[in-house]
Amino acid sequence: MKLSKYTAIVTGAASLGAAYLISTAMAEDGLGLGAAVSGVMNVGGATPWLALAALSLCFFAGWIAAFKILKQRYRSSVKSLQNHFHNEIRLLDTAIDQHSILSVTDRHGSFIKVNKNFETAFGYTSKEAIGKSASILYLAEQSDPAVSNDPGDIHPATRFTDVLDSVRDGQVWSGEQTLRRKNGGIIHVMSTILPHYDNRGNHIQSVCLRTDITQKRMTESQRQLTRMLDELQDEVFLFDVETLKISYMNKSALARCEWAAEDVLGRTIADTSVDFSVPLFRAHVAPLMDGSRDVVSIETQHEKGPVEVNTRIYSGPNGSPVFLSVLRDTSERKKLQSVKMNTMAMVSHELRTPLTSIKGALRLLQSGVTGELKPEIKSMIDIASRNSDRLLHMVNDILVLEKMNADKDEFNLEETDLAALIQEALSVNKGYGDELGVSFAQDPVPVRSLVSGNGIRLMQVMTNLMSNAAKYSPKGGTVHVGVRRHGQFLRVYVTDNGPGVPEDARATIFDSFTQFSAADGTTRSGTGLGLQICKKIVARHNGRISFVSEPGVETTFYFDLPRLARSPDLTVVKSDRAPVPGDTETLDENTNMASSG
Amino acid sequence: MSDLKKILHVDDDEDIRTIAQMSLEMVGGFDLEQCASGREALVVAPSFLPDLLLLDVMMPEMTGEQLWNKLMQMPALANTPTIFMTAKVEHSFLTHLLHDGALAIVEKPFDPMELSQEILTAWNARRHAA
Repeated sequence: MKLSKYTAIVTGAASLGAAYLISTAMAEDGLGLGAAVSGVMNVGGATPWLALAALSLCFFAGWIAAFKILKQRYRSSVKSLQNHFHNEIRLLDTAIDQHSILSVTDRHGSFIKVNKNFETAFGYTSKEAIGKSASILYLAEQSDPAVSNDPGDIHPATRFTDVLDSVRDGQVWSGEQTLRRKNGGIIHVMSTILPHYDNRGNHIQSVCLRTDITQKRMTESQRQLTRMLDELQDEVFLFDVETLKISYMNKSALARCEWAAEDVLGRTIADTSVDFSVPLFRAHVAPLMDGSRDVVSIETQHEKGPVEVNTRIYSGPNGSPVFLSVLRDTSERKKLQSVKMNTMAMVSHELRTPLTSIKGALRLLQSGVTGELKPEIKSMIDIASRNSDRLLHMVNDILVLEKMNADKDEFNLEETDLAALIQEALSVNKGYGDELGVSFAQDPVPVRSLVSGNGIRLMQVMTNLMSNAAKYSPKGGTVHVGVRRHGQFLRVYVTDNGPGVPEDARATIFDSFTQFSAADGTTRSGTGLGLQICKKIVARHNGRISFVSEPGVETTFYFDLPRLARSPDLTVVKSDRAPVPGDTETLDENTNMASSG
Repeated sequence: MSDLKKILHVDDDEDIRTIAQMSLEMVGGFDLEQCASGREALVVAPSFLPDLLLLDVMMPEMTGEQLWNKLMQMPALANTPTIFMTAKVEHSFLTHLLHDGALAIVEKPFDPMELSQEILTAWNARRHAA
């Protein structure tokens, strides 16, 4: 008994040891359970009861081991599942973030988070958006007559409060919306708004996913229009007012740039020509931006010939303002113009020979070498002489114009001091003023005001403007002449107190042969070509010429030339006269600005 | 070097010849001979032996410049100072004539009361330079 008891103890201990071994082995690989058990059976063969107890013990130990294994397995599978889900969610997040316009709002509808797509689509940076109510995106919340005068017209989907209410009621809101970008433009989106609740069922935030469907909304008629634009010879460009990013170019435009339609993406209008200057373009379109003009146009030289570019602001397909530039090849027109001008020049040339005889004969008669003339005859001869002079001026002006049109004119630009030029112009034109009883007065001018100019041609402009001013001045009047700084330009001005330029003549005053009656209805002698010549000369200097006229009070003709960097600061020189009125005048747009196309 | 007396004027336009004649004879007091073409001038010049040639540039058949070249080949006339008259005032062309030795260029239309003085001024400038 003692022995069997002992044996049982030993067997039990062996079983325990075996169980431990088994459990460990199973924990390690879970195999060999049968082998271990049969081993124990052999050990405990002597006493069946003890063996049974040992076996039970062994099973018990096995269960413990199995539980241990299962627990470990469960843990690791939960962990990997967690990892798996975590990755999946992260991937999903990224996909949504990449694909959708995403925003999260609090329960009041204020932004908590917005993604990159949101910033791009609506034009608000995340900093600007966060904390603001999502109502900023909704049309109905802003009074804009362009959208609708009657709030009843607005589709419920565009009402912020309607959407918010529906989400608060626990519904997922989904549908098309027409929303507003920061710059006022319209954007069409497909939206899904999901409310999010806390454990107690309180609405705490909403997640909003949107897709831009503006392009899709482009109607068939618009596509038709695009196709028609593609057939045009003229080049058409649509580009953003702020970023100058191109949104559309028609076929002709693409062909010249040697681009495919998809090359347009991400490029700006400045990429369309090597000569494009953004600052010059901005200056050019300034009248569009401030609303003083509906369209601006320039003539410029492109790689493939002369072109004319008309630019206006247009409300783009998504309602945001874009520049619409139409670029037209003007080489044919230029050719025709030059043929016309050539013919005129030839005729003018031919006129000089008979004029020589007429003028010569009259001059000899007037001089008395052919004998004394009766006063009546002399006065008739004077009339003939004056008019032959006028004819000659015209002929000369036409020849000068033709030369400049054909670029035959030698036109060297060198550093020119406008102050000195004015000084000289005063002495040159003094005689003419004296004849008319008009004096010229020089306003205080800076000592040195340098431009890149052609002295002879600029003197021609001065003489033209000054003789015009004198001609239209009242007897005993004074014409003021001066120069002052005007931004990047130097402005030379000639001011008279004559009758001024009548309203209906203003648009055409710088065109050929526009002799007009002054605002008082009188005309003065002249060829009608002088101002056109001035315009051409100033344009050759990359400048512009214009005027401001208050009939009967004051009329100022002026031209602006780009200031040379070395020119001293003119603001130190004070003028005792009121400044020349600002920029509300008719501007000559035909300056040699870089192309906008 | 003698004073300027004899001038040969060549111009295809009859009226201009008349004006120039009055101007140069009545106002200037010169001894004037006139021709209507280059061909005529080539005949008249060797016998007239002018002190100065006054040539219109643009003439049919033979231009003033062509005539000048021909006259300069005649030994008796080879160094005769020459003034051109032209309605075509193109800078490059004028420079070219002056470069080739023309004394001056008178622009048409000219003032008949000033023409003689203009010619004399050029003549005297040449004498000073010589």
